[in-house]
Amino acid sequence: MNIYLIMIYLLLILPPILSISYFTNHTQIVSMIGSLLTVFLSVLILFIPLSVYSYFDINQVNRVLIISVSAVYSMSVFFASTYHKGISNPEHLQMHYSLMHLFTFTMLFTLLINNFGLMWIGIEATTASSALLLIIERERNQMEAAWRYVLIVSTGLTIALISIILLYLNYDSLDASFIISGGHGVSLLLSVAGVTALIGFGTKIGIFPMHTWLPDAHGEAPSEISAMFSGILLPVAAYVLYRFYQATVTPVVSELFLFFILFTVIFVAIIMPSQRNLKRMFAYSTMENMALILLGLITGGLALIGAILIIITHAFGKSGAFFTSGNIIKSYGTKDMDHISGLRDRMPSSAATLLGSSLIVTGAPPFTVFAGELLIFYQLIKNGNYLAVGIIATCLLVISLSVISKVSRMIFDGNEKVAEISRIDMTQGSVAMISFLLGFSITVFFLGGLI
Amino acid sequence: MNEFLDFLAALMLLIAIWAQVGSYVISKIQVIVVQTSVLSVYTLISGIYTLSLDLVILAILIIFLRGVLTAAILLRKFPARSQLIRERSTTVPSVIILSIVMIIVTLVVYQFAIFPIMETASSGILTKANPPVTAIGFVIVIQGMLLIATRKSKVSQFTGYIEVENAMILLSLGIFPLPLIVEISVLLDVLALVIVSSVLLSGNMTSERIEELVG
Repeated sequence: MNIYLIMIYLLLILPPILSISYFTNHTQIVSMIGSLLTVFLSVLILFIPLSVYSYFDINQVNRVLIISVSAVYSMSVFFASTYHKGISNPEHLQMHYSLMHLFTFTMLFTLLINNFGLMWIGIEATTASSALLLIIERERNQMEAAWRYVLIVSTGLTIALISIILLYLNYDSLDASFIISGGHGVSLLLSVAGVTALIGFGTKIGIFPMHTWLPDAHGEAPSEISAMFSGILLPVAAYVLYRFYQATVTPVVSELFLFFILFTVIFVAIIMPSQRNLKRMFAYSTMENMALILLGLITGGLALIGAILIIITHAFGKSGAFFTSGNIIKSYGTKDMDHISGLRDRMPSSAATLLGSSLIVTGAPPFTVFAGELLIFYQLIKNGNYLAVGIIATCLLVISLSVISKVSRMIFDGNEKVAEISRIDMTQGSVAMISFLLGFSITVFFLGGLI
Repeated sequence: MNEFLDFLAALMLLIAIWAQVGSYVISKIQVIVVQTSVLSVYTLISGIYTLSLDLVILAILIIFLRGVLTAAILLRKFPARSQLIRERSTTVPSVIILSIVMIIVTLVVYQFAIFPIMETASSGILTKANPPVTAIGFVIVIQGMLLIATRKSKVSQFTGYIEVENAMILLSLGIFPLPLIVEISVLLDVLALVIVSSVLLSGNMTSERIEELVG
């Protein structure tokens, strides 16, 4: 067994081992140290040559995702350590940590496995391992959101199983790299496989109109789980759909993907201005980001690089936004943005991270999401998709203005009424700031020519 | 032999219609047990007929993991007089009509959109495919989704999900059986979801409209 394969196995084995800490009295500290080790192993895997290693595949897209999965997972573990301090049942918190590790394992497995059937299994397992993460306090809203999440996503993913049956029928193999590298012709069978994959995995990614679980789950989940959902789970699902796209692409499939992506962005642009719930607003923003990532991945060329830039920057930017939202919601006791004001004076550091993270995820210049979007537009124009560029650019403008104006109102309005500064826990504040700074640092590296 | 397999597939469809008709929640769990048992028999006979050990193993796992364990987990969530629990505010008569209409529409769509794919490829890779079973599989998928969409009871919704999963196994057997490792993993994944769902069923047994989850 070569050293690279050992590293991959170590990365995969570590989170399940950490989940056993549920049976000890040191769950929290073991989780923190273990999550940092996972980050370390992910960084090592970044330097592995791109190739297939036994059952696993390392390629230019999934190695970036592995880093973002580990980093956001680690930050979420630290954030949870203080965010749930006053939890009514401490056993729930131990279970919460345990499930976070298993959830991370399922995502890493999905990214690394080189088999379409097992990729589907991995994505389905992310649902099973993450559903209970939503209900740490067993509140009515959380239970309902978790139920919708399980039911809608699982049913959607079942449709994707048709795609696997058809792929197996067509290629007599489910080996992803073998199928993709072999190329294929145009056939009706593959078109059906592509469309069922789009409907199935599109449900998990939040592609309109299969997205209905997404704002509920993001809105009701604890903030660190919203960060994991938005920052890493959805991009992992987008990666899987991208791999299926590569195996099934035909002109019909290509057009349908573009069609659904456009409708998703248009839908978000329509619904965003009316949002009042802070976390639901960022959930809808995630739909737009995922649509763009998927668009970049399937367009290829420079757009692929654009998608990778958005994946990594969005992971940190959106996590920062959700971590900060959690801190603000705890302090104000409401998610309603109409009742949140005076952030600049009441929570200065949270105001800064919220504004910064919002600018990152909405693709404001000079952040890397903006650069990624430009690369995607460039490739689309080169391919002659002028109409798509026009529609998306207009929708992005509407979405960005909506988010920034709502965030600005919370930060800059009502400061004259603020009597004192709200103190938030140092760990929570630091995690939110680090997440934002990581997103920002990618911009610095990109502008400095290091990426 | 094929006729008998077709008969079993048709029986699964009838059971799916039974799920639409019944308004007692307990009947939904009976649907899971009976439909899964029929699917298991279908898989077992296919395995014996084609001399495939994989299918025989799959048949045993289906009945054990889905027929026995799933039903047992869901039944634990019910109070002692479970037979008396009826779904609130169901519009069963209209759903039955809708269900029948959907069966016809699905079969028409299958005939004109999906069957041609199988027919044109009949000399090639799809020679092993069984069109009647595939058609019934598609119909059960739609019936399962209809059950999810039209019912408020979480048990009924979950029954719809299991129905869709059963239909997928039937489709897979009707078109081209997947490798055993994938089929087993699918079964285990669904079992994990059943366990998770049983926790979510601990609260309110009906799905409801909550103001905070609107918009």
